[in-house]
Amino acid sequence: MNLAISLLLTLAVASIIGTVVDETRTYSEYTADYGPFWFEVFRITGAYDVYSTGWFLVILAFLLVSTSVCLVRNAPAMLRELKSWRANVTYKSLQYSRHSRSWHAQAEPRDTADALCTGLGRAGYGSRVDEGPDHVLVTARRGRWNRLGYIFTHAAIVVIAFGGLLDSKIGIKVANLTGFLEVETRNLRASQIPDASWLPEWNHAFRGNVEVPEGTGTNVAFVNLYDGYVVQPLPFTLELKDFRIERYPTGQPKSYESDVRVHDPELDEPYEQTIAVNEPLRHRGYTVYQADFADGGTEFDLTAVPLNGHEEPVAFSGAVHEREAFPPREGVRIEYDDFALFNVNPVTREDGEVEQRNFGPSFDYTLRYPDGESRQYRNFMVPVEREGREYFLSGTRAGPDDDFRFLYIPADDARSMDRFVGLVERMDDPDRVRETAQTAVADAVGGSELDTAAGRAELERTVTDLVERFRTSGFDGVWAVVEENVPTDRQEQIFQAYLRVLQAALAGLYEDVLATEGVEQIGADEWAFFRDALTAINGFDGYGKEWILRLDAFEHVQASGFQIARAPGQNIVYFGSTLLIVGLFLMFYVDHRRLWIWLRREGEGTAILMAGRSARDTLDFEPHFHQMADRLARGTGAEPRSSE
Amino acid sequence: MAVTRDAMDDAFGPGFLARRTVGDWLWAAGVPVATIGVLLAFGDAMGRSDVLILLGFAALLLPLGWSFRALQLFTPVVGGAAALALLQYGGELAAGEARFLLVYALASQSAIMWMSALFVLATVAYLAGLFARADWVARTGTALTWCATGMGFTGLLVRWHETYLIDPAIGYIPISNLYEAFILFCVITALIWLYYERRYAVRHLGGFVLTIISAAVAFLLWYSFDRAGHEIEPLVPALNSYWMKIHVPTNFIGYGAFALAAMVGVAYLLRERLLRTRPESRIANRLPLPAVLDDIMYKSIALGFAFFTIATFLGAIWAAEAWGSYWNWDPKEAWALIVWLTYAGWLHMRLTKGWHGAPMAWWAVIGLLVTAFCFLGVNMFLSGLHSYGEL
Ligand code: HEM
Repeated sequence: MNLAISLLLTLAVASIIGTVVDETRTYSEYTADYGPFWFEVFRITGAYDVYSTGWFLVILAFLLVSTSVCLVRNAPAMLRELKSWRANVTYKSLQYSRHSRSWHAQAEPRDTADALCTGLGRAGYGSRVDEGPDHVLVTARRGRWNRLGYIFTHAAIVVIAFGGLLDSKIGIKVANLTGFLEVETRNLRASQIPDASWLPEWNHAFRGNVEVPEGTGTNVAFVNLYDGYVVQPLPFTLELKDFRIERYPTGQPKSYESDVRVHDPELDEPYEQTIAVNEPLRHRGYTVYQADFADGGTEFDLTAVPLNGHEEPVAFSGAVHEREAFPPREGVRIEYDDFALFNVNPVTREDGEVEQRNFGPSFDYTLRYPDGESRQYRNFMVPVEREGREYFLSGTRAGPDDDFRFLYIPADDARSMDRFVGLVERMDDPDRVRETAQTAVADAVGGSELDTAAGRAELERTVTDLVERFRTSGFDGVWAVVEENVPTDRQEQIFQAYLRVLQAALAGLYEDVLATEGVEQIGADEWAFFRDALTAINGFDGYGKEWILRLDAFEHVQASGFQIARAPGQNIVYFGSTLLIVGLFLMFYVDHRRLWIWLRREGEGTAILMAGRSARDTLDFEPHFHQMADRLARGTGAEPRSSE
Repeated sequence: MAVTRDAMDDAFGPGFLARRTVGDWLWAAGVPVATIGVLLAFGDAMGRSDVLILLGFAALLLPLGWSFRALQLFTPVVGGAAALALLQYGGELAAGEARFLLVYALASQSAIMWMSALFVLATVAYLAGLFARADWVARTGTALTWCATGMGFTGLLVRWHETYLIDPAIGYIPISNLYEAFILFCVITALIWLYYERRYAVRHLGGFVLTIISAAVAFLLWYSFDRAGHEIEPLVPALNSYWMKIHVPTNFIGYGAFALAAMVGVAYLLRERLLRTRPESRIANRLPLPAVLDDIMYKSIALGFAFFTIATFLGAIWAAEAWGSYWNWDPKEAWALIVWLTYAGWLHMRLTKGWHGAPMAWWAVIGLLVTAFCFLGVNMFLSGLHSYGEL
């Protein structure tokens, strides 16, 4: 028994270890977290998958064996105890038992015994009468099914462990250890995966995942193993017709649903069903769960808009998961990473309330340059409102570990980027910049003592240079010019002056753009746009290279992530659990109680000695025993005698 | 002979049914009537599983009210208060900020605040009762505990309605996030305590049990004010299931019973220590005898263990439907197993080795720490399916 308790506690401690290391991540993530040394230590001790390591299974096996042995040793005695009346008692043993009472009854023993049986029956006891040479013995018992409690609970442990073992990865691991199965770590299509990594179709227990784009089907699942996977073929094909995300009015997802069609040679014709979270599909012992979703290759029509004045926009198309040459630029490659139809974000309104707002579709892509550099982007399709004004959002980052930094490109009255692009184009046009610089300089110094031809030319060159610096490096670039040329004590002053002429020069360009749109009156809105545009241009520096991608149209294709499992042990485990629960209730709430009543002729009447015992000698038994004794005594018409 | 048989019948008095009181029969009639009432009022919004769960709940309530008679008054009062709140709402969420009765008492947030305040007051009263000469002080503790529990249940029922008022598509049973779970923990623990208090006549343990409830209340208030935990958020898809309606309450019967056992264990250890150092200590002599404490501890752990087992099984069935496997070794599952093993060990010690007293009291206290980690620690420190509750 000490063994049982030690095993229970050992198992508890072992289970704790498994919860310390997050088991759901990849080997490379672990290496990044723990460093190569501890990664290796954890890997060898099996910390990433404690519950299927050898040592954990050994503890389980120990528990199984010892519970079984226990059961085999104790169950027969339990069953005997269940059946037995325990009528072979002696007067002495009753006298000295922990609970006993005695009294004298009027009637003779045999009749008294009958009356006692009536009373015992009223209290739910079964009873029987044995006649001895000089006495009559009434034995009574109640709640003997309690004894099944022990058998049920302990058998349940064995049953559950057995069922669990059937469903475990042990078979797959053994196949791997003995060299029959190889772990595949590359990202391949099912048809390219070597035979060595395929499980047989008859494999009885597995749990795998598969991603199915809309309009396609699968007849395999991928089972994760160590740092890779193996392939499980299925005897049927699962075709995904449609994937939906049902949403709450607030926009958060309420349910994920997949309409599927199951093709199986054993069926006369395919059938259709909807799989949702909490509503799996069951087919021939396989269960298909809604686990996940992803993009299934959404197709895009895009325009690359140049952020300079000397190139034309380029239209092209692509699809999520594709990687190809970036049409506008030789040597650059583009990878279409992802697409999201909805982007629900919390937004703080002007009144301070936070509301959920949908920013509309967005798409992610990566540009890879010949020099090895790469940047990731996330662009929104339609302008997003912020404080009453609308912006195209385009975020960028160096890699997946960084956050996106967003550029807010103001949308013009036609909700397009044209006005903004027009301004940027003009900033890159040397003739236009020179003209506007001239005007700005004339406005600034016209009529002052500095106003000489040489001075103007000098200033115009400075302004042209400032525009170029601003275009390529933002306000930091302007500051850099100041730092290069001006003594420290006057830098701030000159910087402010530079900003003023720069703004004046850019405003000239801006007016130009507006003129082509036919806008003549420049109002507060137009100036707000101008400030936003400068802010956006100021952000170019971190944004990367000279193109911004605009999403013109898309064809949304989703993919549903299914988990497909076969768990033949499941019903065994459920049966075991039911057994466990029934057993526990029998054990805790059915109290096995026995009463013995020894009757001996005494004068005209009968001397009675009653004793009792409860298997679970809790506090309840004592009062129960005395209440029974009181009632039985009264029922036999006697004054009770105190216990001896 | 016939005479003795009649005498025996007399001695045993009337049978089980004949011993039912008027209250028992009113209860037996009231439960079905109330069930039908609920079906009529909300039947349109209920699915088949909801109806089944309601009927199952009603079937359990019937014997429960017969063996714990205080429920015969408590249940209609809570139901009446909730119904009153629903009428006051009249289908408009805005009424919650306008109608006097809702603002100050029955809107879920107000009711929960009342519950919190009353539980703290009850703790104070029970603890004062340990020192006071007069009996009424501790009795006030009992009364306050009943009121707090009533407010808690009312708050949960009203909150249930409020989730539907926000939007019928959002409506869910309010036992699905940490805030709601804490309320559930408080009221279930209190109800189990009120049962044992009456059954064993052990009022002076109240200060101990209510202390753990007050600790939960403190967490609840912090969570509500600091983290806005009381905001009603739509359920994530995986939680959108009828299993939640049975898995969660079953679990909290387990947690509540374990918490109660641990606090009785604390009382046991304190009593023992006081008697050793100051044998004439009033508090120590007012606490129940060791045999009684021991027995409550056993009963409570047995109750908790049985329900915790059921909850784990229900959780496994649910996991099979939502996540694709009945056992994933998700941190919550692993810790449920650890809790279960801890108490399995306790029961073996007690039932097979006959251990009693201080070691078992210590074990029960440590068991509560393990349980607390399973409840809170896993959500705070470990990630996994359960903590996100996400797809
Ligand atoms: C792992 C889960 C286990 C659980 C939940 C469990 C539960 C219990 C419970 C509640 C009892 C009290 C039964 C009673 O006396 O009525 C008990 C008794 C007992 N258990 Fe276990 N047990 C477990 C494992 C084991 C193991 C591994 C062994 C043997 C190595 C074992 C051997 C026993 C024995 C011999 C008794 C005494 C039965 C008696 O004399 O009444 N148990 N168990």
